[in-house]
Amino acid sequence: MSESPTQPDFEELEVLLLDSRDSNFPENSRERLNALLRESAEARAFASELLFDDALLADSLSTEAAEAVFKEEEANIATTKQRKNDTWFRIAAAVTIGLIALAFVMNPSSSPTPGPTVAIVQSTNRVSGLDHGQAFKTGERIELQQGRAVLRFNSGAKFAVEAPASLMVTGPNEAELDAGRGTVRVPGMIKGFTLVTPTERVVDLGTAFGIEVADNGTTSVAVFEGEVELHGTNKPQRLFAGQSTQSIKPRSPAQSIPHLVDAFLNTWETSFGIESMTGDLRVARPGERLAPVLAVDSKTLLLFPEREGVTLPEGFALNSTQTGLHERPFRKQLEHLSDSLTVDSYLLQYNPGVDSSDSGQDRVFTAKLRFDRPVVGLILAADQLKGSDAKLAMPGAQLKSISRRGINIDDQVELSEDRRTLHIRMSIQDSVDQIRVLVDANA
Amino acid sequence: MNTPTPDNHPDAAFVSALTNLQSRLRGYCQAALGHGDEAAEALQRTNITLWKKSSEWDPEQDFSRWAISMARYEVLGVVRDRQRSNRRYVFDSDVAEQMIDVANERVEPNSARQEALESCLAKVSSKNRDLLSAYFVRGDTFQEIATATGRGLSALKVAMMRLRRSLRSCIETQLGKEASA
Repeated sequence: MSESPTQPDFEELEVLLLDSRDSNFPENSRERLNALLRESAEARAFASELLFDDALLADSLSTEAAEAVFKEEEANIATTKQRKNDTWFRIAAAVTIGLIALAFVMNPSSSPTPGPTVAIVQSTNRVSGLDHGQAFKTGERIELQQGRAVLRFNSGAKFAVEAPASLMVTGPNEAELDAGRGTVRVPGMIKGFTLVTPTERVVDLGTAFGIEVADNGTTSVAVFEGEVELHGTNKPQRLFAGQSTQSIKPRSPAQSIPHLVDAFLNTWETSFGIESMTGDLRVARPGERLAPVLAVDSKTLLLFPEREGVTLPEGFALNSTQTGLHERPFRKQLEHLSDSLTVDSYLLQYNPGVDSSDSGQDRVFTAKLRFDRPVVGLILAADQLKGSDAKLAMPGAQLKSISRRGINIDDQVELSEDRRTLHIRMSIQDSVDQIRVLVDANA
Repeated sequence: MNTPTPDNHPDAAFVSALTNLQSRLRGYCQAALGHGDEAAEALQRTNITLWKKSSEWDPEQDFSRWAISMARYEVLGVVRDRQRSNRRYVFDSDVAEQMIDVANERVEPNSARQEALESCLAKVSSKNRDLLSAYFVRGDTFQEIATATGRGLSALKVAMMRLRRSLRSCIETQLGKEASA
């Protein structure tokens, strides 16, 4: 068809483009829209500009919404921190009595400084001599001979460390690591967590990073998210996500090394409160975590740790807070929170990609997932997933671009009586499956 | 070549480049296929393809040019696959092909336009921002917004038209000021 010499009706075109977003867009209007575009290059240029601007607008507004949620979380952290401190004082009093019996995990030469608790043990995994909830004051040491543990500092910073390791808690937002390997994560807007090693001083600037200190003091740092600053010399070095360095001598500049993260994956997982996993399941690696839409894996289910310490308001809709077996249909399985609840969120996803070689063949994935704190809610249906994205998804995750969500008719999720273990069975039909798991952030 | 990390997972530089380009990729798919599920499908396919081909990207190479060429291929694939899916579409195949050509011309980096948009957005009243967020972020239809807010359907559409026009006018003014500065 030839181009029309007359000026297109831009107003009509704009109305039609607006209406075209509606799933009930009438066929005669659709035909009219196509006719206008077919006839005029000006109409196509105008429509293209509008559609590009709409995408920019959607992204700007999404970013603003995400920032607003972060600010809200920050306010929540500030108010809940006082409540947590009160709890930690009580735990500290109880645990102090037991500390004598735990002397072998403490350095006998180090005399604890009087003062409040500055860190507690959030979880342990195959560790002896270190207990969940155990409190530490400034100056107290931990010698980890086996297993893994997560220390939660009063600042909110988390340090997951694996044996063999030797460290000292030196304040509510700092520690010294003499030897060992671990992952530091500082959720939300908290900054300034400092880890001192024999050859380096690593200052967090809002991030997640892996650190390994060899017996000779050599310190390797791998930044997973955000950025850190190295203060081992007079001239601080800034490192960004995807960069790794090694510091061999004190007061010498750190050298760049290949960014290899596999050695840190155990403590990366532990830092998110994942106690154990078996079956067809893995935790999203650093990098993948921030972009679930992009993470394609046709061979396994993926678990994406999302936002932490999010307070859900009274009345928030989810599919279940109950233990036991959950499966479709969820229509009759909609619950509204009777009180506000502070949670850490996890997105469990299967995303085979659109050109999966397994197309047309159903596969069954089974997995067992155990958390270090109780699961308090499950979001299993597409509508509730969509409704909870604004509060629980990572900023910029763009889950809205996934066109099929929720789980299938044959899928099953079972929460154990102690609320720590999920048994998952997903019958995969070459499409995206997702559920969201909410864990008590304050336990 | 981009050095793949163990297990062939893309490295952080790739993830960062891809994340930064999401807005333009979304704009490209939307400009080629219109509002609707097809654009979301094309964006999803593009991201998956880029992820799988991450090891082919040379960091010395212009990422956006490489990524947009993939997006073009995926947009054409969505149009080609229409017969196999029952998905609703907005643009007929011949119009979609014309719109792809226009999108190719528009897709060059335009951070000034994005900055102008953000500056203009800051001037919008909270009531109108709520309307924009409901429509563009949550994906609510006019009918859903009308039900939720108690406003008339026609009044909402008119408000949205005015809002977009005033934003467009504000953007052009800002860009004009920058050009003459």
